[in-house]
Amino acid sequence: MKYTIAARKWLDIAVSGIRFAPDREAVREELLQHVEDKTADLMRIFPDMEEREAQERAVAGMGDAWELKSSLAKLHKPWLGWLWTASRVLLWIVLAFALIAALDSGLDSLSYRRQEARRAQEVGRALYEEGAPDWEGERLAVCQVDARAQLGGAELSVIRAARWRERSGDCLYLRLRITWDRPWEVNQLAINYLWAEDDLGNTYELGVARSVRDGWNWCQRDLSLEGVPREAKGLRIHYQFRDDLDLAVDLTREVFP
Amino acid sequence: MRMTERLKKLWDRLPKLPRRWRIVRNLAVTAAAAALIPALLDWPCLSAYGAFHRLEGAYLLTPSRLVYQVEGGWGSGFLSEGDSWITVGSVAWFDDGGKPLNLDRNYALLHQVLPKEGIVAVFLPAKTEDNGAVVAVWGGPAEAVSGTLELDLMGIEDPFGNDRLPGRVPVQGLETFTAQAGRREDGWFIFQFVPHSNHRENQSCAMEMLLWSGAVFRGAELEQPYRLTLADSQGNQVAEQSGTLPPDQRLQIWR
Repeated sequence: MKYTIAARKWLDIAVSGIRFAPDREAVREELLQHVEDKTADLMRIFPDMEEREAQERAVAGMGDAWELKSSLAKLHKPWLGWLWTASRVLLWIVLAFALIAALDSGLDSLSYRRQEARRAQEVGRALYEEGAPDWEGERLAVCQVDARAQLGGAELSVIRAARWRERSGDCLYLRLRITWDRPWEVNQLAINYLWAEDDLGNTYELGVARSVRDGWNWCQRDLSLEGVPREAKGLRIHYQFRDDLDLAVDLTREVFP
Repeated sequence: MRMTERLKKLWDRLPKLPRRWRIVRNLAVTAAAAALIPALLDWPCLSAYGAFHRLEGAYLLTPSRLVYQVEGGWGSGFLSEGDSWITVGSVAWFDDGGKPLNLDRNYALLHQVLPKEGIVAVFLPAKTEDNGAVVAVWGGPAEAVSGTLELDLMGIEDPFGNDRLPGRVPVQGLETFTAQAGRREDGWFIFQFVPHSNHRENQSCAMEMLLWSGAVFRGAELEQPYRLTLADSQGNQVAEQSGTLPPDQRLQIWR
């Protein structure tokens, strides 16, 4: 449909009070639809009437453009629209920055981490459950343990333990986890400075790990303690750099898988 | 083109939230993405002390108290203490920190973590503004209020000297430096050493050359022979200790 200058002018005035441009365009479209519908009605009722005249009458029937302008201005406050636009801009900026950071942070290590997680799961099943080990050794007993202690800004815990007989002799496996309060402090190497002492006075290094895993604020290893005798009923874990770690592991509750 | 139209139609058919809820949704997604960014950036640390303190936390050495800080040369040196331990660290600033988006250029290293037993003397791994060095001492008898520390340094070659640009010549043999300090309220003695001022032209003072390239790459320089005497308020000697300042343990975070 062609629009007369009067119709265009009326529309321009009516929507000019709406300050948020997308709303202004939407209302303009809606009013235009009304004008078109009214024009079509008039042409249907008065078949001899020209389109131009019908449109002018339809616009005249829509009321005073200036009054409509002030009503629409009151109805369509701009701040919500501006806030919405700002939230969209902010969202896209943050998403773009997150994408750049993700690409720059080496996401390729994710597949390696997935492999490590799978490996830790398999080793865990073999060490403490019914799984088959891919190394030479025999599970003697699984101990029910739940030892926890706070050190600095982290919690140290031993949540699984099992006695094994391997080629090199008897050993004890511990699943040791450090959970930091602050995720930016996660450090696998801290485990290297732990050592253990059994209730018989023997000391052990916590060096060899069957599996290594880390999460967003924790790291975990399945550690082997070589030569722990069956008579040892408890272990105490110590930290090389400070003497206030109180992590006692009770090895008396043996269950057989 | 058809695909685009189909997607547009699908988009139009999806239920639309009112504008207020769209704002809430956008802000919620923005907040979630913004919270993820620091983790993706490997938790950037924008201050030298922050980098050092983070490393302390990574090695379970918190809570701690900063005892002394040296700024100069290639970076900063830090001395802190916990209930039963002493931590010495340094932070160097690199143009390329090798971390995501290169926002975090602080590289921290813990040089020593030592138990608070007996008398402990440690070298702070950073140069002072006047090219000197700081050695801190903890412990000793309660009546000790002042101390004298002698440091023996072997002449150190100018690391930037070469055939085309000859460096300064080091002094042959040992150079001895002496500093005095009083006991602070927190129990520490802080000995500040300055380079000798009577060297010939083109001859480098060992103190000037010490830690010339920072402590991150040349940790062995921390192990230096020393002699310490502590005295009471009457000037009577109450303790004496000699030995070598502790070696560099070089604890860091590998990610």
